[in-house]
Amino acid sequence: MNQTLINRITESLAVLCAIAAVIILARSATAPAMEDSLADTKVQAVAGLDMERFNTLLNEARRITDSNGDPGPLLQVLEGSFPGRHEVWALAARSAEAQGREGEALLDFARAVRLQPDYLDKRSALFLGKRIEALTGKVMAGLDAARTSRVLDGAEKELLKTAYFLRRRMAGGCE
Amino acid sequence: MRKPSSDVILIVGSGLSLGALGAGLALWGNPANSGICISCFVENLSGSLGLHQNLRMAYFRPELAGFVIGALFSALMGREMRPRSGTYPVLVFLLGFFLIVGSSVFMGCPIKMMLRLGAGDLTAVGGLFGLAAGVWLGIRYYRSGLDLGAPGQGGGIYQGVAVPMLLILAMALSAWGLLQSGTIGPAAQRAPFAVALGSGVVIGALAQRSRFCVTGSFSNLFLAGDRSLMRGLLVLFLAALAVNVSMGVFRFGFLDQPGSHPDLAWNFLSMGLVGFASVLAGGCPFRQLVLSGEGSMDASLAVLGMIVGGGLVHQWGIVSTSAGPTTYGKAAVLLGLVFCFGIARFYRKT
Repeated sequence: MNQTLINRITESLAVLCAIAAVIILARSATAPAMEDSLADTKVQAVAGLDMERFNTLLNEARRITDSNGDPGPLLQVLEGSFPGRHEVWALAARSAEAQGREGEALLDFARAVRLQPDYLDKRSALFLGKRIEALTGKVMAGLDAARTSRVLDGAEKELLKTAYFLRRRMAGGCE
Repeated sequence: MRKPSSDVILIVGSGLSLGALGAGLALWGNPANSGICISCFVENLSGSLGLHQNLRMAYFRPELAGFVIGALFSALMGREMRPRSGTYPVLVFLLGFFLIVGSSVFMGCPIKMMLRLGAGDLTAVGGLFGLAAGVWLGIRYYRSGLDLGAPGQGGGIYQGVAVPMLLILAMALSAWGLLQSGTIGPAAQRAPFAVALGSGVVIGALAQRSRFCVTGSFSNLFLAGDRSLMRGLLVLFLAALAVNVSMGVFRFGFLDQPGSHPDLAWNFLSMGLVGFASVLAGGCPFRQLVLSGEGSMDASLAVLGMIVGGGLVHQWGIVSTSAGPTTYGKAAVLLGLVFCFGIARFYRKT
């Protein structure tokens, strides 16, 4: 093949890859933080956060959840003020599950697991694997049943994707 | 009947040991489908050295030292210990870095890709095609005049064995508890020390004698139509398949696959980067370790680049998880391809 042509093709491929990389980074930089995909969920730096206030609010939310109340408003405050804290997502999941909102509970558990994989590690004191496994099975069974009669909507597809993510995490392997 | 040549026996032996021990080490305690995974092991090593803060991936895997010890002794016994270096050390270092970038976005090196396929993981198929495509691309450039020069003899035995000795030292420090070692997550999943080290030595020695390399299998095929290394690759797959099926851990399909994500497009591109970079660097991540054990300073530099990469992929959020590739991971793969295309553009002799 003509050497000049090979050079032009190589340059074009390099430029194409560079443009694609810039677009991907720019889209991420301009997206609101709360719209991060599950894959992009990352632990936020906690330096400078008022951890005393965090613990007080979290303990209060836990108390309300344990007494079968709705800690929703308090959890919203926690999510807003302390983004990226896995404890908040795990508690939100427990609360949603207790109130029968299983899909929401699964999404919240997935977020907690992304931030803190120890929730699925038997060696950890945080281990909630059995509970998450049971919930995942329940949600998937519901989605499978729905799929037999109609096409799943966007939110349900997202839920199914999240359930598959949790199943892969429960299967183990390197992360 | 014609007797197989010693070369074929060595290649088949390498594939057999990698496949059987790779699947076996996962049963002995290493993370599922990651009985042998050079990129995972290098990330573990980087974590144990404190180059990243993810303690779940911080542990010195004795297999790593085993590979270089096996290769070192095999090279010494076969009088193949030849200290040598090329003329593009910075490129080789950065290629080592991008080998880990591509592997971490795919979630495994080419050997783990074969082990995943042998365990029935269909999400790895995208990676297989990507790796083949990347190697094919690199070979096309070599055929059209890409020339990174042949390594020249010299540099001295001291420099030639520096990286293997550092790995052996790191193993000793780890055994004495002086390196970071995670007690949870993949870092806590370990085959017994002697089994891990012994497996590494056997595999390293066989791979040094046979020149076995996953990307080399493809490049020999594309470059010269030589199928000899492909036999080793096939045996690797079949051995892993046999162990996984017989031990009841074979899971066929896309779902419930450990240490994987289902994004086929990024599996293809990330392994494409690994294939392309491997051709430019002269071998896959495993081959770089083996070559460093027989005195190749280029390979030693690639290994150092891999260790730095193992730290940065975690610190910079490049590494994929079961949820899929991250934004930074995707961008890093694309920049790695830009880097490889740059080499292909500027080092072609017309």
